[in-house]
Amino acid sequence: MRIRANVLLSIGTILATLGGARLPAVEWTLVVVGAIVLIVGGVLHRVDARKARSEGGVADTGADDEMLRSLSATLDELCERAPSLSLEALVEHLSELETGAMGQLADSIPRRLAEMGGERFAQIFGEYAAGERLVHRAWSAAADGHRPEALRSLQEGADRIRAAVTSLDGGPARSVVA
Amino acid sequence: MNRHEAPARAEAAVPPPASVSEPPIPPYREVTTAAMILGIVVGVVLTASMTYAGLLIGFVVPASAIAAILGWGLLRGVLRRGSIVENNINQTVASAVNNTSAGVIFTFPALFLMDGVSFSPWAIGLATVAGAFLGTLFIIPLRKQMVDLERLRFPSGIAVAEILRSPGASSKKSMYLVGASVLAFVVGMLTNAGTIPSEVDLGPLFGFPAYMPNVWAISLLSVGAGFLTGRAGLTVLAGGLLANWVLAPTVVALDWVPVPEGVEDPDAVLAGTIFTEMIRPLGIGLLIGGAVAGVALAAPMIRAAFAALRAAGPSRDRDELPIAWMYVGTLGSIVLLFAAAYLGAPEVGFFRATLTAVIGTLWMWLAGVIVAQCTGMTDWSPVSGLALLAVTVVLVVSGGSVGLSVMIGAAVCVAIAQGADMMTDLKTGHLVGSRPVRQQATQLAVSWIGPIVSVLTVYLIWETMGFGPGTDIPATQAVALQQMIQAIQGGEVPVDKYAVGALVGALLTFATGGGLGVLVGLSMYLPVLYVLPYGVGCLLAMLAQRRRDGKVFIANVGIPVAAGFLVGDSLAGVIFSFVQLFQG
Repeated sequence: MRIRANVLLSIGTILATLGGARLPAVEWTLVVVGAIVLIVGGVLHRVDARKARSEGGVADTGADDEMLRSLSATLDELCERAPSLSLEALVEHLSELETGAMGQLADSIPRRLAEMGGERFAQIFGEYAAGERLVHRAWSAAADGHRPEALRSLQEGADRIRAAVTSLDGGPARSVVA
Repeated sequence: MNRHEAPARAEAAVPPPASVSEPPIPPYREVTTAAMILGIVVGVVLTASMTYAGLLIGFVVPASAIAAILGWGLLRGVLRRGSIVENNINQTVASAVNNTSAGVIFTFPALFLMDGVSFSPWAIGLATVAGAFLGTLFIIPLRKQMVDLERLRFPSGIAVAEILRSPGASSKKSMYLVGASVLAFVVGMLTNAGTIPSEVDLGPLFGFPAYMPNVWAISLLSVGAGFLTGRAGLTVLAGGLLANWVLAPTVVALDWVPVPEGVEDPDAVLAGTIFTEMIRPLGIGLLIGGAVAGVALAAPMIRAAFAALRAAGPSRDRDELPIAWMYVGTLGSIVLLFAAAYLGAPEVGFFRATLTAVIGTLWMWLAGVIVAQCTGMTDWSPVSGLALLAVTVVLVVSGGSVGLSVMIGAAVCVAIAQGADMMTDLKTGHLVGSRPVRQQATQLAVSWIGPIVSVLTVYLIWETMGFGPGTDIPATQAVALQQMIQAIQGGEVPVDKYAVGALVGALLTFATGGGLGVLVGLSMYLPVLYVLPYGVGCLLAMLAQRRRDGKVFIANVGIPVAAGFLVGDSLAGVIFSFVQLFQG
């Protein structure tokens, strides 16, 4: 169905823009036909997306949720170990997290947005994004040799990501700092 | 100096327990006088230079990457201090000052070239300052949506973050960044100087007629931007091919475009007509329709962002500027815009001046959203097309006042450039861990400087050297706007094409729930010579993704190389502009 939807979207776009391109006046019949094909393609696209979510969604959602929990746990653990780590080691650990777990979570975001809808997604991932930024700040501070800021930002980042997990599990959204 | 030695006192201050004699821990440097002053100086120098260069050669280059590189040299190298986030503030300030030059050179100089048009440079200055404030303020509630939630790519933002982080990154990664920058710099200098061609036309090789352009820009910047955008950018390639290789030959085959007679190369004339009168207006319409539909779809997220901003309270630890700043600033800027309209074009009267200020403000917001989305998705911003629409709308609202229309067009240009720049800087800030509120506040504090410097520079050049046809400074963008205004005055506004484009853009966006309408619109708006190498970049990213170690390879090799391409090419543009400046 996805292929059919994409073909219809392409044909609709070609027909409507072709009708619109005519000089000196637009060929409105072609524009209307193209618009109808676009609408049909759009409906098929949405139906297919909904079907895909209901079929494969549960497994994916479970894995995505687990990924977020696992990242939160890793950060909590790193917070405990960080004071005894050298700054070079801290930079290395944070780099691994940035390209590993946090990169994978970023990839899952379009899927999560489609599943959760804008408002709930914004509550959870707004908090997550703030935590992610603080982890990046911890990396910058550690690379700059500023241990107090690195530790503080890492702790704050871990707190915000934990708050995102709490919100994911049905707890209150933090959203105090905006 | 070892990178971990920088603020050595901070490192040493933590482990031992607190004691009375212990020196206070130095705060992590972020918003500092040094960063602000350096950013302003770099921004002002680049603004004046780019304004002149823009009039001379027709394009300007962004300041972020240059400021970030200079920042490392001066903040850390010369002053022996400076942090990653401090340098981010430096580049935020420099680009906030410099980014307005493009908006000013596209619009303001046209007024000098038109006979019988009266205008006040002071009113233009006032309007563009209002635009600079509005562009920064309007973007505040959209940061969460575009950077945090929708995760738009902002390729230039990623590139600048790579530069900022390079001293802390692995040496291999830095090597890739530097190597790619050098390569792109060399290629950029050679193409700018004309030593190697800036584009290659493969059309004759494949037997393509001129109205089916198969022209490739020699632009590593486009390849890098495509790579950083990744798979999503393929839509731009598909849209570009659809417009140029499907629509164009079909309208010719159907005889839907008048074939010129008595010209040497009718295909070349057809190519120009098809692009400027068919494809580009449709593309602008698609951009508008797609962006409006995108805002409607993102309404729940924008509502959530507003709610979070309102709930934040007066905490010192807040992430964003308070939403009240946006309300108050918007009101203040409308007043500024009204004052500029009323004082700059008194013939339009109180009512029309008020209407112009309100419509101009609303258009700045919509155009700001469109440009921020385009920049976020592809790194390209359709500033000139949106400014042209602003000029058209204000020409109608003001009863045909060209002076007022161009003034509002200039304000819109500055606003959207400022908004797109702020959003790109916020993406960079996210990646290096800057506090958004600090970036927003510093950008707001300096955003008024650029328009004043740029307007004064244009005035100075006009008074001392002159510009336009028949002079040494051709001012091509301004001449183009002048011709467009004359066409609008002659009633040649392709409203029907804008409408069809808007319909298709909105339907595409609603159909897929993403930014498809904007992407297809942008692909039709842009000349295909940049779209093709951009598509190659997207394909390379997809190939890299397919490697077994795809993600790691992209993070450690792909992104630094692509970022280097953006940085090196921009740097070549700046150096070339300076060479042109010194050659007079």
